[in-house]
Amino acid sequence: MAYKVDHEYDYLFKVVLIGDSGVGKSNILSRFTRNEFCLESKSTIGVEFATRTLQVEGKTVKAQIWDTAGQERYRAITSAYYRGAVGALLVYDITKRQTFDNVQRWLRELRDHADSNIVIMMAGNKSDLNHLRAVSTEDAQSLAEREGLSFLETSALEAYNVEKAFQTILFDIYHIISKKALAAQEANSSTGLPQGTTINVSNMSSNAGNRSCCSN
Amino acid sequence: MLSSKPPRRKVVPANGDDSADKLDQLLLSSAISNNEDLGPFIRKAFTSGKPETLHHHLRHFARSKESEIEEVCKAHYQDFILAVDDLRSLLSDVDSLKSSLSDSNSRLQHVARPLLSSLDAFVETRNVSKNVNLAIDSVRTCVKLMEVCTRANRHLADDNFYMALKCVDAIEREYLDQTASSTLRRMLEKKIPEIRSYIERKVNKEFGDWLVEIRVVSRNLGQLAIGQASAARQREEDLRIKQRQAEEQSRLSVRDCIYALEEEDEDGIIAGGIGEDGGGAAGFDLTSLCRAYHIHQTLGLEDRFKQYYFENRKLQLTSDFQVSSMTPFLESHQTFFAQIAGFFVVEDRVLRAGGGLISKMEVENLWDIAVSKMCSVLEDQFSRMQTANHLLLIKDYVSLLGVTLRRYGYPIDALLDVLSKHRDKYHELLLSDCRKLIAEAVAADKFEQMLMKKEYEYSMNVLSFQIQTSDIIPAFPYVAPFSSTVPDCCRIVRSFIEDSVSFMSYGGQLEFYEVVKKYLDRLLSEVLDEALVKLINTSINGVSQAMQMAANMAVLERACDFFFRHAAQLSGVPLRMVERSRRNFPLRKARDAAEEMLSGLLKAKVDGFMTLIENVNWMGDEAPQSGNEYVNEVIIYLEILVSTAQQILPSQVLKRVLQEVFAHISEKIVGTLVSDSVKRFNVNAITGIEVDIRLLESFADNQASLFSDGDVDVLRASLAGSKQLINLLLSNHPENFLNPVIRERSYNTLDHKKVVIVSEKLRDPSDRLFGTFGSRGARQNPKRKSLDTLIKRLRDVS
Repeated sequence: MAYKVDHEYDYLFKVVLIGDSGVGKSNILSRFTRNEFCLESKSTIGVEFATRTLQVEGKTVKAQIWDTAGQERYRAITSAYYRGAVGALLVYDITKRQTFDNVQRWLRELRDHADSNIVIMMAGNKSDLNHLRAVSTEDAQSLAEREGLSFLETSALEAYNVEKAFQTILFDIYHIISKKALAAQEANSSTGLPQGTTINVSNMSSNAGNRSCCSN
Repeated sequence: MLSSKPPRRKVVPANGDDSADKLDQLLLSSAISNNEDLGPFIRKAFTSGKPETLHHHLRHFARSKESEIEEVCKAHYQDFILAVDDLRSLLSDVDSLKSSLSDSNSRLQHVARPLLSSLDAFVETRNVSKNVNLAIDSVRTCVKLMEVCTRANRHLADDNFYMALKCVDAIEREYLDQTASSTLRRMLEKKIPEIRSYIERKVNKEFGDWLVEIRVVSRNLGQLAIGQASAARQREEDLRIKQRQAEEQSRLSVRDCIYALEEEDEDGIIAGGIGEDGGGAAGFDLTSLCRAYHIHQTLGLEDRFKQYYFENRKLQLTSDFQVSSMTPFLESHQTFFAQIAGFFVVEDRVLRAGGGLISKMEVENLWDIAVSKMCSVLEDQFSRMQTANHLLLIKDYVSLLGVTLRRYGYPIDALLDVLSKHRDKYHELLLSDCRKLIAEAVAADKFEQMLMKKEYEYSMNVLSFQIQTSDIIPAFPYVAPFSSTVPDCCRIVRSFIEDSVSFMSYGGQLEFYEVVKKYLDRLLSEVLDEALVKLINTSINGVSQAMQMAANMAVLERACDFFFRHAAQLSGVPLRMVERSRRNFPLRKARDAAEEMLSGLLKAKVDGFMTLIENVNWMGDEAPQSGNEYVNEVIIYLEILVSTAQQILPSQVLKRVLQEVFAHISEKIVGTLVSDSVKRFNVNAITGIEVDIRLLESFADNQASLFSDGDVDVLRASLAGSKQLINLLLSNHPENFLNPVIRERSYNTLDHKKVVIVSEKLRDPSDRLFGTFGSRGARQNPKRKSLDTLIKRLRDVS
């Protein structure tokens, strides 16, 4: 319904920020969304989110980015946090080895609660503190390859790679959505052929749009 | 004149008036002379009501003055007329001069006009010249300024920040005020701080890069430094090995000495090579750091930079403390400690060569933090380790770390305390490991003598534990007196000793032999002794196995001497001190158990043969001349036993076992005579038993050559019980048993009750022969009577 009523964007993608406490998730969020939006509202389940609209391959995509607001300190993140998320940015701090070691635990939690097709990027934040580095880029790259994640090192302080990280996630999400839509079209087309019914082009577009909404 | 006249005028009237008026006039005169204010006098005149007098005097005075003036005017009239005449003459001269001046002025104007033009041109030219000079000076200043700016830019381009700062300072100090151009001055005022900020940022970036680089360098440096300490320790160990070899040479033959000398030469060459390699230590570069510090000093930011350096190095150290929970500490500990060691090697260099960038107190502060953290990590990791090898690996690396950093002046007592604290745990784990290994080795024993086909086998299983029986290398194949358990257990114990010494070495405690000895004692007496006792009590099948076990124990007794000597050698304690303090055999229980087991089995075997004593004809007509059947069987068995045993059992052990067996045989003989299975016997039977005992004694005499001390009486003494009983029965005066002196000397082992029982069973052959030979019967009677007396007396006693 929002899709049909509101012409501001073509897609709404929910992206969650996860990782140990103190790795800089909130700063990544504010850095990415500051120029477009402030925090719109505070959810009743204790998370914060902000949105920003940007263009991905000609489509208007509204990114709704959720931050845990400190809940991860108490391991109190609820399943609701992950519901409907199509992307996740898994953040660790390059100056704290333990935050990188805990990436495995966060991955397990993601796979337990989130959709199996969720797009995951691992971000090593605080890259400006290179002289205090405790996690080498090679180690992180190896883990990312092993687990099938995208990987970037970021610095919310210097705005390094923050934009790129979200662009990459949203790009990957868009492509997965597009593949699904294309598959749906093909299925619909093959279903229609044996019946010999004439298919209205406008109806087909409407169906694809609906499926996209469902996917969101 | 005016001032002089009034006093003379007043003095004259004063002489002619009243005294009151005279006084008033004196005062007034004095006031006028002093130029004082006359107001009060006038006011007094009016208030006193005498204005007329004053008025009168003033008019009188005025008239006198008019006279004087008239006189002066008359005198000067002539002079006035002459003066007017002079003025009229002067007026004429002035008119004449006026004309003359006008003419001169016209001529002067005419002459001066060209000169004025020249003057104007001159002034204009001079102004231009001055302006040009000013411009030239300004340009010259600008040229110098530009030169300095160019130099500054070149230094900046070449990253010579100090020189660039010097140029900028010179510009600010010498040229900024001199610069006439406000545009240029504004530019300079803007750029100078910018250049300083740029230099500061650039230098800070270089410093940041140095911080990143120094962490990698620190890890490599730490590994290198610890590697050097390890190499030094290895050289020290090699030297100690050579000393031990030299000590052992005194026991070896000349041929081996030659071989040892060759080895020594090779070791010398190797040691030299190691020394050469060790000398080529790689350095590290403090250039960026010193440069950054120097630049900050030049910028006047020294304190800020020092604090920045300290804070960031402290953060780096804190980052180095992170121990990954993903990687086992056993894998990561070398990197962990090497990183910290390298950090402090770098800080030591910065302290000595950094020009005050970091203070000794700050380094000590960082070191306290690091030591506290390392101790905490070690406590945590040690508490979770369950393998002795792991503790040893960590301990070795930590002690090397300690040696390395102590060389740089860092106190390491806290680290060594942690190692000492976990000494007990380490040894408990070692004991636990050894308990399993010994149980396996003992369980695998086949109780067979080891066969060694080659010399290296002999060396590996015998010489290395110094359990050889002679210093001559035997011919091969060689059959050892012990089974495989012995060298297997010896290897386990030796590795325990070496592991114990490894842990105690370089752990801060110099005299650790007592500790090693304590744990070695525990291993031998608690672990090995118990395992052997258990084996002996549960797994022995037959005399041959028991004999092998007894032989093993004898060999292990010699091995235990080796163990303590070995521990002392490895601990650096002289052997004579160890040998001086003799100790008990730690495996005594197992040895006693083995000998008891062997004796028990032999006794059981002998009992089998002793059952043949039932076949003895207790009422035979003749005494058997060559002994009863049972004793011959026993002796045959014992002969076979001894011929086998003397190959593997030491003589002392064999003697002790035979003593037990002989005592047992004696008891069996006495037991048989006492038992109900024998109802009666005659002198002939007793004589036969006597022959049996003599045969046993003869066998004992034949074993004299086996005993180094040649003590055969001990073996004979084992047969005393039965021998004394038989002697009593064969004696013509058995009642002598009642005599305490005789009894103590000849029958001290006999029991009263047994004597009564046995004596009653003795039957006199004359009972049957009495009817036939009266005279012979008469001859037997005295012994019978004596025996009856003995029986009666002993029965009364009981």
